[in-house]
Amino acid sequence: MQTVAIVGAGIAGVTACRSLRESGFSGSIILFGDEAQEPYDRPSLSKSTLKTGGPPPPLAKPGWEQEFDVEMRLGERVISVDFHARSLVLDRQRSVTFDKLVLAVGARARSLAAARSAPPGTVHVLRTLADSAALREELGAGRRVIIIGGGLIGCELATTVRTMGCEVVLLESSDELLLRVLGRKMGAWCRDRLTGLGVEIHLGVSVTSISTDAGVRDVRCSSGRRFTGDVAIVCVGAEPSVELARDAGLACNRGVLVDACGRTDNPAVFAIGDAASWPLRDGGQRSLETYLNSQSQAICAASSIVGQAKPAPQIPISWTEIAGSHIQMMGDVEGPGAIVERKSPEGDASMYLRLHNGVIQAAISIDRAKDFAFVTKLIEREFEVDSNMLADGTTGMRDVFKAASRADVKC
Amino acid sequence: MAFEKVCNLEDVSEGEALQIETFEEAIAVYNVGGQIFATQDRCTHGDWSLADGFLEDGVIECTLHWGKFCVRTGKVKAPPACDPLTIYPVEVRGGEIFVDYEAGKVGE
Repeated sequence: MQTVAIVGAGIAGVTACRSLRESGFSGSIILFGDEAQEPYDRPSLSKSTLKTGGPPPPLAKPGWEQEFDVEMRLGERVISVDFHARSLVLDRQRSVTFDKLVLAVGARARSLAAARSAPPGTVHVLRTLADSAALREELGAGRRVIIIGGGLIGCELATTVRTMGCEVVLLESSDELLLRVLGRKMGAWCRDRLTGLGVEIHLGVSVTSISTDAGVRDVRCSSGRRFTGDVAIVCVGAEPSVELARDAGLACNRGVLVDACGRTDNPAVFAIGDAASWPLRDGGQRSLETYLNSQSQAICAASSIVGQAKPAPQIPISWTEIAGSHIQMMGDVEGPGAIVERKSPEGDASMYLRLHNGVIQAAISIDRAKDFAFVTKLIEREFEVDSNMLADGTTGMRDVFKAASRADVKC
Repeated sequence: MAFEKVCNLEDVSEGEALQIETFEEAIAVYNVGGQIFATQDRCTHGDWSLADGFLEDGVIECTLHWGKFCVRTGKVKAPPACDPLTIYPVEVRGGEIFVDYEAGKVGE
């Protein structure tokens, strides 16, 4: 009987288990997770879980491991892979053999050089439930919180922490928030909204040291500016965890390199989720670090393992909640073509779409989830659309999609 | 067992879903290639209408976080959804759709 070992019990690993069974895999599945908790939903860590202190939503309903016949090994860390023996070495000096291996080990919070000399526990990061719980312990009305990094996690945290009654100072090194993921226009939009929420934002601020003096966090910047607060959080991105793969000799470049079926350069080994550098539909490859791409990669790798490989080059897709708005994005906003701004019937900006040769390449939606559902299908299917219809916020995207799919059939 | 009329068949064209608010909890009625199904309208993951979602091959995709459910069985097809939908018996008679709300049961 074949054994598939999956290392990492986040959304990628759990989806891989589910997909293997749904694809008819009848061998054994062993799922390793280095956290002791049942697999949980990570996007909530910066939002509801932090705010309420309640448990994060589970990734699967109780008893799922029996239903899917998965051997769960939670709280066990895999320290190395021996490809020759096809075995995983565990920290308790035991090993587990496999026929196929899926690396779904995720990413870790990137550290900031300026924070490396700070005493342990004085500077927070957010990646795990333990991180979220430790941060929550320090929050409360009137506490002054300094968030270093104005990307997705930084802006989500600024929103949540502010609504918990804290004073929030958000420091970003570049000249706009969210530049990498949402682009300049949306970055400015979010900055306005966060400012409206009472978040104090400083752009172009490069942090050089974080120290603690009598319980007060002292954040110093290259310009000579200083910010003091009760809590410091570093949110400067994530780094794919590649150590296991790299030490075993697999090719890595900010992520384990895989083909569009999830295969690494060892035919028995697959990589999915944040740890994998996956080919993109529009060229190039990179680690995407999103919930939905992780699911898609897991489904694809499972098909490959059962001998029904179907390449799944990725289009980045994710969502965020910033300053009370539900923002969804797909594709890369920067690129060839023109940006179409779609207004809501009330006249507010509701969507930015990048249109190239009549096809939507990328889109960002603000509080327009229902319309965005159809935009994602238009992007996936590369249907040609009418740019006037797109810009007209009174024409629902459902109708734009129907018109485009009819036109596509005619071709 | 009490089937109640919820809408006309022509109100839900193929590949579409319709939100029905006549009962205590809203339900969604789906037309999958001419076959009609009914489930709870609210996604089990977040407070969001499934009838506004994307229906394809008998699977409804929630537009908020992209969880997916089988409309026939209520079964979860993609996280973050974790719990199945409540499904309702449906009858189609003379171009009208009837649903037995009281007989709703949690899916697989």
